[in-house]
Amino acid sequence: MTPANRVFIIDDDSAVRDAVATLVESVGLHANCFADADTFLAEYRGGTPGCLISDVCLPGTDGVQLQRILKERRIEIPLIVISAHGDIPMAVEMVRRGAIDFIEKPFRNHVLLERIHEALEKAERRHREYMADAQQRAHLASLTPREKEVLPLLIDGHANKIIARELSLSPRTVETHRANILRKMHADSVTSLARVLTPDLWQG
Amino acid sequence: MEPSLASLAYALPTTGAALAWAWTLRSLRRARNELDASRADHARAMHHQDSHGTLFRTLFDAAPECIKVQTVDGRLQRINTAGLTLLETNDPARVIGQPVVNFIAPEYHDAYHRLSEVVCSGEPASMEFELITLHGRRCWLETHAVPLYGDEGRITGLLAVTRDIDERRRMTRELEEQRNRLHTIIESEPECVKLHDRDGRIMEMNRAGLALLNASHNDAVIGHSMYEFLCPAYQADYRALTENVFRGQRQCMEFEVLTSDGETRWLESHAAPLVSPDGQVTAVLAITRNIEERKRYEQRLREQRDELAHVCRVSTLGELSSGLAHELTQPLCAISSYAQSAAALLKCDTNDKHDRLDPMLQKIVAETERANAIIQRLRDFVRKKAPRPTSVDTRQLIADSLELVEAERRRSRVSIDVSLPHDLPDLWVDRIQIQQVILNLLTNALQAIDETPDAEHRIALSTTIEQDAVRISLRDYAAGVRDDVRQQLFVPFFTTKTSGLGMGLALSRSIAEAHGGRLWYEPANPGSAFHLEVPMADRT
Repeated sequence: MTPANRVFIIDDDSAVRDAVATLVESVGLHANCFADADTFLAEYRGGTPGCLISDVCLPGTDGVQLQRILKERRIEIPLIVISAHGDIPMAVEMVRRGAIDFIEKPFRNHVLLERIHEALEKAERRHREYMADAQQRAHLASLTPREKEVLPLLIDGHANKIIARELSLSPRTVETHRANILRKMHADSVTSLARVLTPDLWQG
Repeated sequence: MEPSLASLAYALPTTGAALAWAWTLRSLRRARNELDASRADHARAMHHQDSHGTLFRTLFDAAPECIKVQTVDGRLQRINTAGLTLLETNDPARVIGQPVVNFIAPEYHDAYHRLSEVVCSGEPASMEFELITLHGRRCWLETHAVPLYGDEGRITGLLAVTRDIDERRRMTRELEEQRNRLHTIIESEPECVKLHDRDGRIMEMNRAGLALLNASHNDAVIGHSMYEFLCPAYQADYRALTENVFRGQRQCMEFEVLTSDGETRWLESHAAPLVSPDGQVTAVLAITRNIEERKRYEQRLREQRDELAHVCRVSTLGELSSGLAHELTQPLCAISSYAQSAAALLKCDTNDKHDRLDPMLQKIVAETERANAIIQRLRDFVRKKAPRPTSVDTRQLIADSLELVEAERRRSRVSIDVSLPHDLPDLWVDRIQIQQVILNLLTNALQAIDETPDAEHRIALSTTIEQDAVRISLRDYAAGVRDDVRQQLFVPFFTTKTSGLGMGLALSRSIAEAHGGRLWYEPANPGSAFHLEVPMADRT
């Protein structure tokens, strides 16, 4: 699987943009620079694991609006806010809404790098989860309608006899369903299946 | 006979009842001619003599002036009707045969005797004296007397023509009083009053004027030229003033003089033409006062305004400070990051170290210059310097002002549309002060937009080229200025803002006016328009 190594940088000041890019590239990461949020939004393609460094005060769409748009579009990219002195209240607001951190300009390279690595780890984790979720979704799609009825009851920890009564089936049939489900879902036990299956996956 | 009549003519006064005199003279001359003729052929024309006698008597009695004849021993022999009227009688018997001296006020008796002697020796003479009428009233008279010759060529008496000069005496006295009064007024006038001619030669100057020039005596000034005292810088202007006054105009001018003991002094002169009765300008009449005090006051005022301008610039910067800090942070941030990246790179063990370090260091230098330029701009703006107009690139001036509000503009998300004509002339202004005015107008507009919900986030900056000035206009689309505020817009310490000195527009207007320009407000729909007009630099 691809490691998260892409850093998107939005700052209207070209020198700051370039300095951050220089820093990012010095540790072997890829930098993509944008002078404003609108250009970023137009060019960003989901699915690339990476993190976003954005200034708060931007021409056109500002940092706070950008964060809202990302949420609306369900783009879950870890966000680091960099801001000059005057913009701190806005930066704090962005952290409250889920940004990883805000770093005041001028920043210490190592502090920014720490946050970048943190953000990239988060991105990677999210990416992994996303990929895992996608796998689970594929597995779930292979279940028969009856198996899909049995699955939630299994995860809730009910015994075969109880499930059989609930669905008016023989305990033996339920046992067959359980074996098929575990096989299709690539799980060794119901307990491990319950751990990887988030409710929104099988309930949705 | 000839000399006496000639003398009579000579003795005739040139002023006064000229017609009457002409009449008298003509009549007498004619009478003399007649008499001459009759004397030349006495026997042949006896009957003529008779008619001549009648003519003479008629003339004598009809003359409007007093004509009298007195004997050599001083008695009144004949007197005409006008003479009797002067003596306030119509009865010749009351005066004929009386000594003439009886009718003359005692203080003139000596003079009268001297006159009689002169005339009796054959010379004409005249005198002014007071007559005492038969009613005892005094009356001023002027008399011209000539000897009267008998047939044998001997002097037989005095013929005197006398007239009432009471009126003239009174007028002369009044004139003298008037002159004295005028002289007293002018001399006691606290301001310098002087007259000088077209070349600047001082004809008259009062005591206050002497004091203004620290001159101890008239001689140090009267007859001297104005230009001995006037400082050289003002001489050309003063010559122009003099010419204008000689063209009939009133003029006013401020100048410095060098007093006779070497002190310079500020004076202000109001000059008017002195016009002779025939309408010619004969001199410059100038009233001049010491304006040292006022000049010092103006200087103090100017210094205070500069001081205030400085304070306001500092306060404007205070308002802009967070934006400016932001502005400075960007290059500092970049510099710091480049430097750390470079330092980190040094510790790495790569071959391309130098190739990668070089651009970083160069970028550090470039960003340092950028930060320095921002600081320089601020320092120029705040620095307290005596205002001095120079030729200033209008485009650059506007660009610099926009730079200073750039952070604020970005924060307020306002776009500033700048439309400048291609052939924009330079301005003749103090760069910092006019920048302050533009900056003030820009920050006002930005604040107005911030405070107006739903305002269009736009400012239009444009210029118009006038006759010899450039107008810089700033238009916003915010709420505009309320009617009740409009009157006080330019009043010092008037403000609608919770923070702020209320000096911005007041000071801006005073700066514009000190440049010989103006600053005014026009309501726009929607929003406000402010116009600043300042002189353009000479295009040559």
